[in-house]
Amino acid sequence: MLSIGAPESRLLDGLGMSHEALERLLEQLQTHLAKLGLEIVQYYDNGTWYCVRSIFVAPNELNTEEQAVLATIIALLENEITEHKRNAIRSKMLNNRLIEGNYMRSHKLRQILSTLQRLGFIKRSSQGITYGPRTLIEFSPEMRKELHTKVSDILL
Amino acid sequence: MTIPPETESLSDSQVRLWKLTRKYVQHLKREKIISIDESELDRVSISTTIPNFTKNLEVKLDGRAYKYLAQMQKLRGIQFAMTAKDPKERLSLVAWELRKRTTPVIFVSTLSGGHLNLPSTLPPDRFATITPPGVPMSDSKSPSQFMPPIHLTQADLETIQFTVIAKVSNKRFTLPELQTLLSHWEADILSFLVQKNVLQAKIRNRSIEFTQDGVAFPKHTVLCISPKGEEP
Repeated sequence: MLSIGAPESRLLDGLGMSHEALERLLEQLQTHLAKLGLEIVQYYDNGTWYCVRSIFVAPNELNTEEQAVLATIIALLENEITEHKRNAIRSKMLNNRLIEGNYMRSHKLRQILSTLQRLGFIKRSSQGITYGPRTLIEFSPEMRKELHTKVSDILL
Repeated sequence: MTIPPETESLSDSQVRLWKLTRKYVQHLKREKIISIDESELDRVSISTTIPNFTKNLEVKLDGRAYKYLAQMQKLRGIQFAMTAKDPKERLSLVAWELRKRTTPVIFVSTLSGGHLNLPSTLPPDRFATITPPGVPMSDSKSPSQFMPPIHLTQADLETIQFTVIAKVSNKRFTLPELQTLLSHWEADILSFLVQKNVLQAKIRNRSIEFTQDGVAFPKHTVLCISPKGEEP
């Protein structure tokens, strides 16, 4: 399983310090990392995680189709979270949008979902598809909500 | 829907407005269009009920009806615009919306047949001028900053690695010399080679010596080479 960064609990255990002391330490680390063009990011995935992210622009690792599928997943997930208070979507919902909407074929979608899972953008389980750590890091909650609105308009 | 008679009672107006609102809710939920003609008649019929409503709940219902009329207008417009577009074009639009909002992590990987993320349009020296350090990348949405990745074969990747090794192997550099010698991505590749023990690095008196097949760098020490112009 891909994990990015370290969970807060491991940091607290490993460093043997309090939560407040860890926060102060991370602030100090941030001032050093800034000179390297890096920043510390906090995200939530079954607990609080910390990781290091580049401040500078980098090309996106995904191709166009992979980006489109990820955007659709984000749009559908945000809808589920807002409307139904659920944190996962069923594959069927994605198939309805993309395959039955004639945007792509099922084997292509399966390939893309495997790639997204391998790269850490999504997680797949019996509950369905949920956000992977990279999506939580690379897209802020505000951006995910914006994507929900924009993608819903485009993919009818 | 026809224009209501002037003699319509208040309760009949409420029922009519409720039914009309419900009709729009159901159509919007199924993303089914109501024609412009029908919507216009509905709008006129809503406007004639306004003088009758005074209670808060009734005014809210009236407001909601207008809101759904506007949403239906928006849906109509979007469907009209999008049906003219090829599905591939729509997917590209969706991908673009995602790219605008992403803050991708720099990820140098030798996996996937040597797929390497390198800037194709800007030299690495210019990285620092794109977004000043400390400014969140979500603030920089200019399309000119989006760089397509370069797809490398395994052979290309090995060539780059050999180039970096040839530049530094069995030589000693001061830190400023090293910063001038290497580009941004060559520094990343060098870090990777040291991590994998392809090259060994010794730091002594603020200079670094790189060797091949020499003594391995102590396991828990971190070698960090910063981009040009930055203090390490």
